[in-house]
Amino acid sequence: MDLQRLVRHVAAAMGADATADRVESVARAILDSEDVVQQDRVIITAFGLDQPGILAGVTGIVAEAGCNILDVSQKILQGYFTMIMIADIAAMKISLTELQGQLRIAGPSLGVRVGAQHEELFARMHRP
Amino acid sequence: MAYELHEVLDTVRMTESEHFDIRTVTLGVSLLDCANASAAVVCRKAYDKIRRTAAHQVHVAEEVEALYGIRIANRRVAVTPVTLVGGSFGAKDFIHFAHALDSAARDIGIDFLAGFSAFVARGMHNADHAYMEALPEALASTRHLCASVNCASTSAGINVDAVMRVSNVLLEAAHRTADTDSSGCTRTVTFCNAVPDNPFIAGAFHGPSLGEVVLNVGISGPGVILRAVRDLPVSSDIAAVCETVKRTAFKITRAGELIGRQVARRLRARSGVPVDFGIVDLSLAPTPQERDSVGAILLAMGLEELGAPGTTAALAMLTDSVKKGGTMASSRTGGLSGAFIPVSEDIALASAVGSGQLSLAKLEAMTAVCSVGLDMVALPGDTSPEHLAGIMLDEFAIGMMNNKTTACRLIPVVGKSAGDIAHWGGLLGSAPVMALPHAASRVLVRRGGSVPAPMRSLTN
Repeated sequence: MDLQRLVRHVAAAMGADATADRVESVARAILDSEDVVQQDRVIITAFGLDQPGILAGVTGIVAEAGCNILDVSQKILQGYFTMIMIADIAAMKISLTELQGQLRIAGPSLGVRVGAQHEELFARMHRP
Repeated sequence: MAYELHEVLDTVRMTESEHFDIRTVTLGVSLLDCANASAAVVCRKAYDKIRRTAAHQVHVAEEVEALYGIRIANRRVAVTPVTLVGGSFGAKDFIHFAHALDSAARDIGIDFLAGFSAFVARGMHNADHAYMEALPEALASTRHLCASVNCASTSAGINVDAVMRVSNVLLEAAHRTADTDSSGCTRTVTFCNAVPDNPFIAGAFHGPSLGEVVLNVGISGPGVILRAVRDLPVSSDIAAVCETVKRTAFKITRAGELIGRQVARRLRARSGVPVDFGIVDLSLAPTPQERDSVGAILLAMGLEELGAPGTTAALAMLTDSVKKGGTMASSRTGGLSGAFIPVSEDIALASAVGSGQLSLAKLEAMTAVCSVGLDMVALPGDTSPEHLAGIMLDEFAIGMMNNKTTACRLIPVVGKSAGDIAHWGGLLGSAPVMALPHAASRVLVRRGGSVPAPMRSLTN
């Protein structure tokens, strides 16, 4: 959740009671809470034998869903295609489950296995 | 790129091909406010409370499963021990209570509900006597209900009378469920030093000090550790093996905590019930699948066969490294945390028992360093109560003297003898019936009374 949006939400919820101090203390409590998902981003991965159009195919589905692609890394190792994409899903028009379903269905026609998992999992496992 | 390729591959490989899953999200529900002089009222209030509190558990677990792409194998509920809620109950009341809890589990769509429990380490209350009388019928007439009896502790010693009583109860439950290979006993654990926040079945219960509603997570992941150990060259020294296990346990504990917090948060939002996140139990819990075995990890560490000299040492290293990695990953580790060695649920252990490589005596030695005890061990159907009690006494003595949890889930399989295979299906798997030593300790167990608490209990 970005900071400005959070502060606006808190201030709006407090209505007439909102003072700078009170908004700050509530916003701080929310940010300190370990439960908050800080960002709404997914990591999309595709693995399989290389063939033309894999990146285009995956990108098409992700863009159509209204996700903003933040970063893509693609490597071909001994004919084996590996792609990692980070996408912001905050403004996505469909649910994550629907996106996962579309990617899963598209996989076989692109000759790869495609999946999407929330970024937080990777952050938790690989970052202190 | 915010992540290295190998990091992303690591996670995807764990979740897709190495059976990394969350074994259970267990919702602990206090039933203390359901206590009433009327058993019928208690049953109704308990049923309603579980339905209300856990109504969204299955659905929320599915959502979180999809979000992170990690399978949550089981959704379960643990309740306040029934003997605390039904302090004035007679045996019939406990049977009605068992049915109410079983119906609640069925109606919310979970596989097991635990907390049909009693605490008798130093003595038995009136309710505990009624509970014991009800237990065989309660197990035989339910499908989802799990029971546990804490018969011993480091601070209280071992209640030998209670151990004898439980042995007779278990044999009766075995006979009453004879048509399903005495499956009633697969849902019953006896403990020394039972812990109040264990999310694993069958020994879970919601301890009275835990608060109103708590979500605990039990992670699994023998497959992930197995791959990491197998990837090491044979020339790696023992420190490298331990370090690898620690690093891997760190990652899976992080994932487990994330999932637990998300499930708790969503349950809170969905049901309005204040669900707290409790603990991550980072036990390596095997399943009967090929590459999801604790025994296979011990073999990968360098044993020629399970049960060979070195087996206990390898298990000690595994248990300790898992704990260390997990403790670094989360300040909310708890429960049993370590490695389970349930014979029927672990293909390598079951096969070593079947081929005679792994004896009951060696298994007992292993339980001194694993996180629980003699788990899912099939015994001949004609096992005497004294024999059963003797095995439990040994197991509890290990726990009592070493200040650790030990447990027994022993299944005397009616109609089967040593070498036959008992089948329970699903996660419970199947196991060869183990041979018992001919001699028992009839005089010792019939002396009755209690084993006094050891010196270790005098710590104040």
